Amino acid sequence: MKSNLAGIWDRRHLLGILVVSNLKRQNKNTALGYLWWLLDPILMTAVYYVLVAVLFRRGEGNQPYLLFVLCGLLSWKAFSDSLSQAITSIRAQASIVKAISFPKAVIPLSLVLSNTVYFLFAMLVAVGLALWYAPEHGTWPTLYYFMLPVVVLIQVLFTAGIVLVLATLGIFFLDTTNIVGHVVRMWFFLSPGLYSIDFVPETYRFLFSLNPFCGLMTAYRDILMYGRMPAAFDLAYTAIAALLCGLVGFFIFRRFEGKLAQRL
Amino acid sequence: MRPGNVIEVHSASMRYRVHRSRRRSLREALFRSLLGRDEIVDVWALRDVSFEIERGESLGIIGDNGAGKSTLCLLLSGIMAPTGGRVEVEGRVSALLALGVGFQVDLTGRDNVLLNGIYLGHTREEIEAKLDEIVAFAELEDFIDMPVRTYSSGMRARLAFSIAASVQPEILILDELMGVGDIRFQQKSIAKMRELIAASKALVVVSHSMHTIRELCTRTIWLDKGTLVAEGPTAHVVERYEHR
Repeated sequence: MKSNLAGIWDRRHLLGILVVSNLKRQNKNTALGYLWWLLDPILMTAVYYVLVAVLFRRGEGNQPYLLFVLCGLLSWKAFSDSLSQAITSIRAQASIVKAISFPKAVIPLSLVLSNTVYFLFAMLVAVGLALWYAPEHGTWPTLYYFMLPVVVLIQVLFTAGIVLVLATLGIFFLDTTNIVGHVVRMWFFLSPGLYSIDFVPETYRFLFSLNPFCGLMTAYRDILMYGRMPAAFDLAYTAIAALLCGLVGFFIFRRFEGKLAQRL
Repeated sequence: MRPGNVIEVHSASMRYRVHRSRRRSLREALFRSLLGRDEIVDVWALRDVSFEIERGESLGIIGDNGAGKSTLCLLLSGIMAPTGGRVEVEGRVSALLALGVGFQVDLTGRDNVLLNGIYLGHTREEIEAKLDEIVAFAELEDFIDMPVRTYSSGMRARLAFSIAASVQPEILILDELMGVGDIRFQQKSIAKMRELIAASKALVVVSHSMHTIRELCTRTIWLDKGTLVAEGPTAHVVERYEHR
């Protein structure tokens, strides 16, 4: 059965239970279980607190640098975790792919969605941090928080496109995991996660801003830190890029889907 | 499709392209395509096979090992598409191929019933309604909230069978009619399988047991090295196969 929108909609129950299974499975054997959904981003914050505030002494200026970094890091973690898990996802389900007919795209897509759930919990930590800084820096929640779902949706769409391509590549080339690890690290340093886009030399700024994660990270900061609407043009560009990426990923996956069962 | 037919196979072929090393690395792929030395061996699992199955019919598939019987089952159940020709199927197909392959061992038996039931085509509501029945049939009431990791292989097989058997397919494909578990459960599972057979619109049986084929199938096809060598009433084809 080929993956198309109607087919995936038909099997939405399958997509749903796969997301639930991913979420349940990952914490099933840990002592603290679901607490990790919050502990993970909290500990990550603590690590970067040491790095940022204690070692680099960046927290003392006029903006809460820790919150700044977190807006970039948490969204990136959702993205990069989806990518690394998706590459081997279909191979890991080889026996079921060869035994049951269903749209295979639900396997990588379920990973995108379960990582989005983690991300939403991690955002709670970011919001908590914004409240913590609010008396000093004025990072109070604003009505623009209602824009967050839109930005998250754009990120999900973009992630889905990349993930579908990588899941396909992962079937045909075992090296995909090795390569993607390095590409993702490079990509992160080229994205404004630890720095602001204004920090990039003017000559390269346009090139850097073509990266959809530039728009995404900036949008999260606009909403959570500066209490303002993300720049409409940048957000529109990011949305269109994400949509294109999603479509291209979808068509590439469909193109090779028929051969998956044979190659496993 | 002609009215009255539930399956039509029109000169279906299945060619596996086997690379000398089955899983290629990127380096190897680049290297070989640049040098034009990619060694690909074509293996024809099926060649120009055609047949039809009418509603209410039961078809047997016989042949030696490697004749293409299992590949044909994969085509009929829609898991693979033929590399040549067409396979048309009308109705919900279930192949009891999938016994327990989707188990997530860290999840509980209950979670796995939901997961596998939905994989097999149930909606969430349907599988939740059938949950108690499935668990009771598998005789796992006391263990259903424990991770499948802790189950014995017999318990897993029983659970897997019960989930698979909870789906009443319109077209049932059986690759060997085998019971699972201990002798008592084997008898119970074969009885359940006969219920599914009786309620299905069409049946395809692959078996090495001529006894099974004679008992269940009205018509039989004989595959040899991927080609169809004989088709007709079961008694006739089985006779030829046994005395070739």
